[in-house]
Amino acid sequence: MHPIRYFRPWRMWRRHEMKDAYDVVIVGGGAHGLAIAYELAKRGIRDVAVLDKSYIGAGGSGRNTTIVRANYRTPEGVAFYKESLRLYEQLAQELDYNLLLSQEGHLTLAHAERAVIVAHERAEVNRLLGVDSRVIYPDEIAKLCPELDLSTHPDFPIMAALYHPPGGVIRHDAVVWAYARMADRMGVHIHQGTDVTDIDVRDGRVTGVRTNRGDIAAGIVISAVAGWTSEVCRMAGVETPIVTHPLQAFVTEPLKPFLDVILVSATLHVYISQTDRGEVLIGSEIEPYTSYSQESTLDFLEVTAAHSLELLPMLGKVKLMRAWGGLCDVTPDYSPIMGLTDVEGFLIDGGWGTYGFKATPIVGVTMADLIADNQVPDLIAPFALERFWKRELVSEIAAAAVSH
Amino acid sequence: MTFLITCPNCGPREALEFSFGGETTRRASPSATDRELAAALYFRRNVNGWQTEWWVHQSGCRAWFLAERHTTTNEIRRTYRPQDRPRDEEQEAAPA
Amino acid sequence: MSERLPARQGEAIRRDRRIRFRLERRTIAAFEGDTVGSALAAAGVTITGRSFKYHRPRGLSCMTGSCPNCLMQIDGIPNVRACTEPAREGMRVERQNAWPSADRDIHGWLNTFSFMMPPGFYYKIFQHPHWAWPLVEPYIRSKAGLGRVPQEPDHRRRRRINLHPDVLVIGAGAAGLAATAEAAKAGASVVLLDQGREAGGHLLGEASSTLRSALAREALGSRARFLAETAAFGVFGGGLIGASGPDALYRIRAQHVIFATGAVEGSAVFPGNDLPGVMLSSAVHLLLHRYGVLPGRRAVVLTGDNVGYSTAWALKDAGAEVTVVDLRSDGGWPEGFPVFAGATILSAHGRRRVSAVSVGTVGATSGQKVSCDLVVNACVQTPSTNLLAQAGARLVFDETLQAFLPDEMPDRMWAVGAVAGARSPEASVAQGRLAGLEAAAGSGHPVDAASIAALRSEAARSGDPIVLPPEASAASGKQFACVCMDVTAKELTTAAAEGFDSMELLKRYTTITMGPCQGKACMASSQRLCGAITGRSFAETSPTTSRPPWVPVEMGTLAGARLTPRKETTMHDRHVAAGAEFMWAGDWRRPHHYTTPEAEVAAVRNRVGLIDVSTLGTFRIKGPESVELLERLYPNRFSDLAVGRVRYGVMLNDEGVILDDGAVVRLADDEFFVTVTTGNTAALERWITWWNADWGLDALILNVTGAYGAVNLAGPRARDVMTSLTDADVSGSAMPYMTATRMAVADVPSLVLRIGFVGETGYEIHFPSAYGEHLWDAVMGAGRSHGIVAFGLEAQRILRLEKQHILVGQDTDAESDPYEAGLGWMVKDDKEDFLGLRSLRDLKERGPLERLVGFTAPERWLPPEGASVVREGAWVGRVTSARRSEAVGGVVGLAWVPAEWAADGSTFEIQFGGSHTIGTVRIDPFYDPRGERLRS
Repeated sequence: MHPIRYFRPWRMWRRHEMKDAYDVVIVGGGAHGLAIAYELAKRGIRDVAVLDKSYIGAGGSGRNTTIVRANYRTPEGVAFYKESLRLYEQLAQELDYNLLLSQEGHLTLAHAERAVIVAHERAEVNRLLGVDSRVIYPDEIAKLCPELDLSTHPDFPIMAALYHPPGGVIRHDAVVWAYARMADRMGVHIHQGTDVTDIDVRDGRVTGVRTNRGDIAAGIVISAVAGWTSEVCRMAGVETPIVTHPLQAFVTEPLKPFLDVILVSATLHVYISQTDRGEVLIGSEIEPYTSYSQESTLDFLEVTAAHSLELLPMLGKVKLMRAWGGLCDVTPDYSPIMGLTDVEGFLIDGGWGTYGFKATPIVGVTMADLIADNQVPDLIAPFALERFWKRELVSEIAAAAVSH
Repeated sequence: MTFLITCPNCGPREALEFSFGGETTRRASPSATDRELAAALYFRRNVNGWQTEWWVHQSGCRAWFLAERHTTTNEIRRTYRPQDRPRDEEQEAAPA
Repeated sequence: MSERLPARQGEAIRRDRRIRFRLERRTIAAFEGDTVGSALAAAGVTITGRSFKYHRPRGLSCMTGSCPNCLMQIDGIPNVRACTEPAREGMRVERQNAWPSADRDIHGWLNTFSFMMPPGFYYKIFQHPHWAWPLVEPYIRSKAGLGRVPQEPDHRRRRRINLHPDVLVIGAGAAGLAATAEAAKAGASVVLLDQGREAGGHLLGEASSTLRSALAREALGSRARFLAETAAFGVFGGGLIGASGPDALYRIRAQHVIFATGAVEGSAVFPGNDLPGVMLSSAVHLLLHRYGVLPGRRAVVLTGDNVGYSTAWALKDAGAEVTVVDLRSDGGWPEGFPVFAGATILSAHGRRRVSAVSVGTVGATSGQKVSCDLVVNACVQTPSTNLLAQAGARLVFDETLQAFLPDEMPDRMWAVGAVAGARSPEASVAQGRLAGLEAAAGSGHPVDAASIAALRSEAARSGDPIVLPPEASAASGKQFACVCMDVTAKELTTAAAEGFDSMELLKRYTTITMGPCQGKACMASSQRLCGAITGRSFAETSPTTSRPPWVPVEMGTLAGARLTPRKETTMHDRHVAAGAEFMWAGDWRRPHHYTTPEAEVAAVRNRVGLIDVSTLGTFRIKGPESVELLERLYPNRFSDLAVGRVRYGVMLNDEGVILDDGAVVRLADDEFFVTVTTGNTAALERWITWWNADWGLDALILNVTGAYGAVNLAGPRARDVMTSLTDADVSGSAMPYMTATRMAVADVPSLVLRIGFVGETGYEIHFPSAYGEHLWDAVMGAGRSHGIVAFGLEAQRILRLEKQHILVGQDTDAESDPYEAGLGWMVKDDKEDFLGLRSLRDLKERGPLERLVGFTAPERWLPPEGASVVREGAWVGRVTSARRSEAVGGVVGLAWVPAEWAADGSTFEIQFGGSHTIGTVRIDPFYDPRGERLRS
């Protein structure tokens, strides 16, 4: 039973010989790609290959700041992320792997009138869609986070906050590994170190991919590569409205736990949480220019440290330990792109900007449903690539400003 | 952003002095088809490689100019004024 | 046990200056010049902390700040590296992560039961039942972390210093000092950094200070600038180097950079390799020669080359019994102590301090026991290549030195000294001098070619081949690859077997190299183990990606001066004197109200009011094609706007979405004056100038925001007040609504617009901002007999809302087009072209799905802005503006509602939280619907 299994090493995934054909090829071995593979396998579609040019979870899945929440601004967004959070809440049991989900509560701080109005709007949309979310004021904020500087000392004092109790953090790597393990068990082949160099399309339908380790024939190819979506889709002759912006983050040295809630400030453009290892994890906005560089920049560290100290001034002598960057595929309406393209058999899961990780479980379910049932699920219908050709955007700009 | 950009008017300056204006695009004409309009408004090349793009020297002379930058290394090999832009270099937005 | 040695030349401590500090309840006696670590060593304190996960006792190991063993809470600040932190009188020092004390930690049981915590154990347990993890998590979280967050806020601002030397030298060891000396001598401007208090690097640990003093004199006596206690932590894009010093952040752009960052020693991997008393040779040298402390009386030194013997001799000279374990089996070792040749340390024994080691051949599981109280690692040197790698240097494995060394350096960068593989001070010095000369030459300073040639041969890398200890010991027991995160060799092996079979995956799963040392102490051992486990050699296993910061940096240092820009108008002091409550509008400070918004509103409606609108974005656009530019930028027509006339314009983007609104005034045939919303000015300037640049039109755009101040004088008595301020004819016939005239107002040359955002007779006066106070005083003075009041932003918002004038960005959002916002009348779609024309065509045809409408609601409850519009329990719209209006009686507001409800008199439900009310649509402005007061 359980205790005995616990002491034996767990075979997480195997290395397979790469076949020259699969029913489905998923380009991108991050959380999304693996979630889709797992869900396909659950529906009996097991002849699936997940390809990643590096190791699994090397991209955004391993670099994000691990926040999960449902308090979005548009009804479409809320419905979508609410379902995703619900799935996250039971995912550890389903995947038989502890994902270290900690629903400690999420505070979006408002330091200006405009931000307070946005908080009101979001609270209402959330409430009417059954998401636990409400506006609270400094007295209640102080109880949730005594360390927060609620005085008039800061230049932009805190006026209110959108409080979302079910919001939380999760171990991002664990999500990747748990999906990979289950998918592997069900027969999915995971090929790391496999770089897709081209996608074959004939007569308007996809026929396979070419990689640095050989060619693979496939009737269904899914692009799940986040920041690299433009390049991969171009291989299939599919144009996208995506621009790639770097996003940075850093952690401090580990401290005994003192922060029990996730702090986000739309005015100061920072979000702060404390990991289970005690490190304070801090992120900010995307860089204001497009780039495929995942480096850290000094100005980011300076500005983000300054803004963090506005919220938590006792961190002045706490040391920054490690910084990194990742890529965000940003769409014009800050909503994702999911589903079919003009190339038959070629599907996109992309445009995830700064909010892809929190959608992982629902992405797996809906994309797998789409493939298995050959019908676009209602939940993701608003996110079709087609909407840009039809000019019917789904704007989440307010909730995505510093959407963590 | 800590790389340097050479403003055609002011010379090399830290990238922080500039605002990014996006890759070059071509606006749709008033008689554009739906597809051409959507392509111009929304679709982008977003290359992983050399990109021609707009920058403005926000903290300096406030002039707009073009740059050729490698989007992975952030190396900039050329900057020039819009008047020096060869007409045929204006790249198409994503093809309809 | 350790003890103080007699005084010696070159030591850092001042034996004539005694100080005392507290370690928990004990008082520790020390000398000025001691570090906390050296003082504790002298006082016989062996345990400096407890490890992160298993709470194992740890002791001093490196004495250079490169490992996690001595992180302590000092004067309330967590995670201070005690080994390098200068000891001060009255300090309060506490060891971390232990309770009740580091000597007797209640959580030592974690170590005993560590077999129950295999790698990633928390992933494999607690997922069933579903309540297990939420129950256990708080406990596990409470065990995490090392130091405690400081209790006091730190508001201190630090400096930010930009430097642009010809040459930057990172590291003031032998190589760095030599490089500095040569470059400075040749005339280059040089900045030298070192994270220590004094220059010298590795030389600080030498018995003799002769070479160090000579080099220091040469380098520091020159014009070079030496920044002590300043550590370079990152190389960023474009060659920008960040360094943190005491209370300052340095941003350095040098023409040439010389990396002399040295090497860090590593510990061999064997059971018990983390016990207190197991140290690196760097620690031994520093303790002996800098701080006069004997770290142990019976020492075992593990070495793989001749350099390790200097440590053995140093210990022997200080009075210790020394045994050497030499990994090499073939001859040529200096005599003087018992030597185990061709042997390694198989394991170390002891509970709270090492008491013995087992020595045997590599691969043996047991061997001869040697009792000792000190084990010295003098066998693994890892060049500190992190900064070089950040800079883009290529690292290649060197078989002789058994280390990754820089192979190709980027342009105008050098690596010298131990980081480049130099194995003797002479080689380091030669390399440093050579780089210094080359860098100076590169900066245009003349150097002697012959010197360069001579140095090149001296600088060539040489040295005896090094024998490394095995990646792991075959003996049983916990042997640590990563002491920061308590990761053992066995755990790495198991993890790899599970499928985490690349260095990157192993790192993420076991967290090796991700602790406070960030790989300094453990990268080499981790690489070698990971390599061995995954069937690769050391040479084939590259270190993980080098990222900043190489050394940890205080948040306060990065935050720097923490200045927030705030803009004030030239009338600011008048507002302060009038008792205004201020608010932020973008980065401007603006009066929210002076008395009460209601009183101010009443004054404007009944008499006259004055508001400072200097924050409005204003532009002058001039040129032969300025009309063409405006025609293309706006959906309105401006070609038929006569000189002296004003027109309200709304700017759209090419999707047809509203970007901004404002007034456009024609000053001359080829000149216009344009106003835009306060907060949008910078973005709109970029918008307008970009299109101008792309279209290549012959028009000049000048942003005059700030150069001009502006006030709005509004109310039925506004004309009376204006008349007394100017000789110009401001009557209704001479200056009707929507016209503009240049005139002197209170003798100030001004541009006056007859417009009315607040719905009364209004004059908007734009003038050179330097006259702000004069003008304000003049208008307030002239208005006194008419009962003038100053009114703020809140009153303005109520007034404009009563007229249903929209605020772009508040009443509209990123998708609002003019048709749905009720501004369709402005769109002249018969124009040839303008931004948004093509999109609007479709939008007009489709018809809006939602509409922005005015509404009234009962007085009893004011819905907050952001409240929802609800249909059958579903969210279908929102309230964007809402206020109580005395003039109208009740609540008035603007809301987005489904288009079919946009008929005068329709009602709809408004909710917020548990409250609700009914809104009634009003198509016309609530107040003065036909605009008679406005136009009078």
